[in-house]
Amino acid sequence: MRLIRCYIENFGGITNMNFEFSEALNIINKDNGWGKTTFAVFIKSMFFGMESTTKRKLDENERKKYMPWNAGRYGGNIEFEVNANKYRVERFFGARDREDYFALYDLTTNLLTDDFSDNLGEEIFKIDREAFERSIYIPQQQISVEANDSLSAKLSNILESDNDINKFESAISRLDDAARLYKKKGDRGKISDIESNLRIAERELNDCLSREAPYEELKNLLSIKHNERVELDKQLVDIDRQMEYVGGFAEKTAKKNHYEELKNDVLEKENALLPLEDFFINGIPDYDEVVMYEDNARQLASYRLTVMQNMICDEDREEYKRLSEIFIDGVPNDDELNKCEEAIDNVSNLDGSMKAYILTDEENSEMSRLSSIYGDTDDFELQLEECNKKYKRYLEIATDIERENSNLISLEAWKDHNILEEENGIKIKKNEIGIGIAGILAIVIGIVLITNLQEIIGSIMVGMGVAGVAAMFLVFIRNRWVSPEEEKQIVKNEEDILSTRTAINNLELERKNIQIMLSDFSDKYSDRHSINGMMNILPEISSSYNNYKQLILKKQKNDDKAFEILSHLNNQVKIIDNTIGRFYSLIGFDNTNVDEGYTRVTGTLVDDGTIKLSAEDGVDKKQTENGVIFTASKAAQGSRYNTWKMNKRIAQEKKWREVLRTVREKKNDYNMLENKISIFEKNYNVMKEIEPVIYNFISKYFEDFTPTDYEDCLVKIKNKVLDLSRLERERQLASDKLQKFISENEVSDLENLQKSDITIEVLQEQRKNVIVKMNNVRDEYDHIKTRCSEFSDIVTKKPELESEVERLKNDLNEANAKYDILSTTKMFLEKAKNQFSSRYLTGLNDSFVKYVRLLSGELDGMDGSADSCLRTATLNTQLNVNVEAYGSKKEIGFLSTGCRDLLGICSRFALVDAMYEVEKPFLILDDPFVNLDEEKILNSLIFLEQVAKEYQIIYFACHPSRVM
Amino acid sequence: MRIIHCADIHLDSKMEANLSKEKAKERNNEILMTFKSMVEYAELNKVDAIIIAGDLFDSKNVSAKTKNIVKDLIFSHNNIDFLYLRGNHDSVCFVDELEYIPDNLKLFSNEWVQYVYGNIAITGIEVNNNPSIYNTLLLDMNKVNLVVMHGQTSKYFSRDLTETINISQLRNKNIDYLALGHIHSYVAEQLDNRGIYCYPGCLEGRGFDECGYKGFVLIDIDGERMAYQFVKFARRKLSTIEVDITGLHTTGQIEEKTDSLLNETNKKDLLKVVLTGEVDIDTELDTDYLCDKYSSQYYFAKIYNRTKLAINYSDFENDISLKGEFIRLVLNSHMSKVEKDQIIMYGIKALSGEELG
Repeated sequence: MRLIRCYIENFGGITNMNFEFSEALNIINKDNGWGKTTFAVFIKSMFFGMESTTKRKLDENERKKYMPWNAGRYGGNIEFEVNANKYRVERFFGARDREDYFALYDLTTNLLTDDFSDNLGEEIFKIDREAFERSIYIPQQQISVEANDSLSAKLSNILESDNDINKFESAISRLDDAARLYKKKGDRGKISDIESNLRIAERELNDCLSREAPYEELKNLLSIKHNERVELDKQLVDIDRQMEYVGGFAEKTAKKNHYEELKNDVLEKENALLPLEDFFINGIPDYDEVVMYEDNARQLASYRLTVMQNMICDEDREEYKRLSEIFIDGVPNDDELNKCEEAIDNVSNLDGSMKAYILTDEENSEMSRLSSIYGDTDDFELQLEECNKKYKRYLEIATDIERENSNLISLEAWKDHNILEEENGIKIKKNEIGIGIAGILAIVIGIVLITNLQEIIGSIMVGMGVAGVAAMFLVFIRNRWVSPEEEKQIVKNEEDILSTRTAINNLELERKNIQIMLSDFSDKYSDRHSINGMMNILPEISSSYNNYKQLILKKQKNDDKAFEILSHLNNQVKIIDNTIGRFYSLIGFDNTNVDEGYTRVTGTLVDDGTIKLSAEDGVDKKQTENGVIFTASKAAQGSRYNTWKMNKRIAQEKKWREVLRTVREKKNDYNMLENKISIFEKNYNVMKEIEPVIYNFISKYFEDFTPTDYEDCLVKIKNKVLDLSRLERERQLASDKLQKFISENEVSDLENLQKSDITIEVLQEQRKNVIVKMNNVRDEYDHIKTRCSEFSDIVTKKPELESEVERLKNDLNEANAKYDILSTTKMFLEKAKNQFSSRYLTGLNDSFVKYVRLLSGELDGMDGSADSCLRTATLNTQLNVNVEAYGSKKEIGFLSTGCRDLLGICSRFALVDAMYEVEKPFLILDDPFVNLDEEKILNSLIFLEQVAKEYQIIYFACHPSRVM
Repeated sequence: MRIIHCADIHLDSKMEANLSKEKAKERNNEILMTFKSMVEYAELNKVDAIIIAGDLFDSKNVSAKTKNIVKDLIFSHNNIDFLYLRGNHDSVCFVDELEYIPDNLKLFSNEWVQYVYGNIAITGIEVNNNPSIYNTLLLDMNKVNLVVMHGQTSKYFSRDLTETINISQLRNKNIDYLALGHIHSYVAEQLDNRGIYCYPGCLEGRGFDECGYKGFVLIDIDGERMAYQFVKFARRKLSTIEVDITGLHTTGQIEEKTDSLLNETNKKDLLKVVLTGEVDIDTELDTDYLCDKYSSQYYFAKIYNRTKLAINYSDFENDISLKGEFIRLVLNSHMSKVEKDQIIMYGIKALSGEELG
């Protein structure tokens, strides 16, 4: 790889500069301030770009440091060749990296190419910016090489930047971090914690285990002491018993006697029980059971007595049967019969009430008489009214005739006067007309003259005519003019006279007719006939007729009331019939006729075929869903009732009352017999039921007995039960006393009571000794028990402690295993890394030695102490240079600056050799020989010439002494 | 007659589930409470007798609290007979320490002892090294016979007679129900044409070698007819779930698969998840995360990573990389396959930038 040329537009202090690179050694010898370092940084920045940083110091911020001084475009381009291809890279920088411009041209085509990205440096050199600065770029200061992952990776020929060698440091760090969780400095970490807990748990468990054996011993000891206590308790009891025996001999003798008495008492009671037990050999009844039988026996006697008292004979049964048939449809109760009786009473009372609504005989007679007069006349009242009117007219006609006669006289007088007056009136009339006519003629002539221009004459004529007419008018007024009307009046007078005479004749005729009519009327309804007496006859006839009408009205009212009463009667009779109707035959009471008569008057009956009715009976027939209903008219009812009343009433009531009385008697007989039979049968049945039970019970204890002995037997049984119970209680009491005595006393001792040989004093001494021993043993027991309890609290923790120890051991094993694994992993990883790196160390070291010898002039026979040091210099995989001095490897820090720079330059070249075996990069040397002496500078320049055969060198120097 | 057959209660026992001291203590208390609940169950269900076929206690050191509770239970339920046969763990002198033996506590010895309830005979012996015990067992064929023993069933004689029950010697002995103890899981199998033999298992699991449902057997005898059923009664169940994570690449995926396999487990249970299968070298698996998650969900949870690395070592034989160098180095070492897998896994994870926990 080599640089061809470059153009710097603006970069730091360099502006618009072109530079052509030779293929081998390019020496740029310029004074300080020319911009050599700037040029070097420009070349670096063309490949790696400008680092993006926010650091403020210029030395740490190249983008800021090399900002053009003239504020022009910041950047330029470089043409270079790599892998036999030529490219031009153009970069211009802004204040921030996102403002940067990058372009790469293929110089063969002069077109943009994407053979490399803007990460051009890393893609070509396979190292990062920092590694570039540490290898290809050799500065004036810090010449020595420091390895980083990028360099190591490059060294290892592992080109991918994300390869695992790059992750070695972080991997080791992670392994360390993970391992530190388990083990930390200062005896900390998970393992230490577990170990600590395990030690505690094991200590507790050991403590627990160590107490197991003593605990067992203590338990055994406790058992022994327990047995000792039991034994001593027994001894004490035995001594006490002996003491009691010895001390209570007299008392025991008394007790023995008492014991014998108790036994005898029990024996005595048992003997007394024997006969009773024999009696009750078939079982001992319960006292309440016997009492129950006793009650039953008493009841049995009572039932027997009742049966005897209510014995039923055949006649009773026959009578009961007969009555049962009578009352087959039910026995009317007292209430019903009372209501029936009340209904009979009501019928009687209603009958009395009915009388008040019947016309008297006189009234009936008068009514018959009047009916014969008026009964057949439908328009009597009209006739009477007409007669009254005619009679009134008759009286008016007399007056009219008188008035007409008077009128006729006046008319005839007026006629005579008017004939005279007429004759005078005709003359006056003729003169007046002539004057008038002359006046009219004069007027006509006058007008004619005026027309013929004879106005004066004409006017005179007219005036004369007017005067004539006026004169006629005045005369007419003065003499009353006899008109045609006056003439008509005369005619009318004549007519009036005639009509008046006719009217008088008519009135006379009318009066005669009225007389005839009234005479006929009075003949029909009165004994008197004089027309002159008509004024009295007509009122008499009217009064008689009114009397007739009132009788009819009264009869109608009575009939209505009677019908109402009859309806009530009908209800009462229904009650009677419903209650006792079915018993009428008991007394041979045939109610057919009665009912027939009665029902006819009550108005409604059903045609059952027994009663023959017809329209002549005043009955209307009506078909209904219940059959044919006959309704009697009121008039018919009234007449029928009267008939029935007269003939049947008394007999009916008597029969009813007789039937009622008979029913009551039969009912009482029937009830009495029924009750008697019921009592008999009920008692007899109960008797039959309970007697065998009682008999069987008694027969368990007695052989010969009769029903009359039942109660006596049962009383005996009851008494024996009581005796047995009492005796058993007494025996139990005696037995309990005996048992109590036995339980409270050693009866065997009493039975074998003998006088003791040992004294009470000896026994007391023995007791004292035993109590002392008991106290001692109890104290020991309590002490051991307390210790046992303490041990038990610890020992019984064993299971959980064992669990804990096991768990902690498991945890510790796991933690240790994991820690070991992590440590081993780290060890293997480091070893792998070293082995991996060392594979390339040989070549690196050979190059280094070669360059050292070349640079130090050894190749030219150079010698010296320092040089001998240089000869021993070696490079390790960490790119650290060591030298051998006084038999041991030493760092180069103690060497002179010149020697260190020389070794650094060598290590750089060795590094680049190792890094780039095929495609050699260019190398930038920024005046690195400044610290070398002249001889070494000369050697260095020779060295450069040698190296430039293989590498393109861009060497910056600021003094001619360091330029060949 | 109703009878409960239980065994291997192991009161005051060491817990094998890797529990903390506190949880171990809590579980011991729970075992005691379960035993108490069983007696209360018997009371409620009108059970006439409880057969304890050995190992009521775990060791000779029994806390006073445990002894007192057991004693009070027996004394306070005098309507229930406790037929207690001592097992190989019952070296405690529990009975000896009683002031008196109540009527409802029926004991057995190294000779055949029989208790008769009407037509039911319960006969038992504490197994000893006397081989003639089988010959001396004589049962009335007209009775319903229950025989109680403690030990491991064997078809043949074993040297350790104290823990071995010779099944073949017990056949055709008119046994209807052979009530056994010693095996900590429920087993019921045919003994002969007439009867069966049954281990009820322990009442509560103590370690992950005692997984599954635990409880007792309820026997109901009506005349000559006998029915029995296993009653699940443990407060907590121990479950071991194997999760094959072959083909899974992330903790999330493994968590999801594990969750799907845990559907039938109860949150109050004790859980052991064993991850198996082959995982790729770049599989991201955080067992601590899973452990934390299930520990927070269950009464107790533990994760075991038993996976194998699915890596073809030949792929790295000539790989010029640090990874290749590392794997070659590990493979050429003298460690076990498991260790090599773990180291390679950690190394690869470290190089991949994964957290190692």
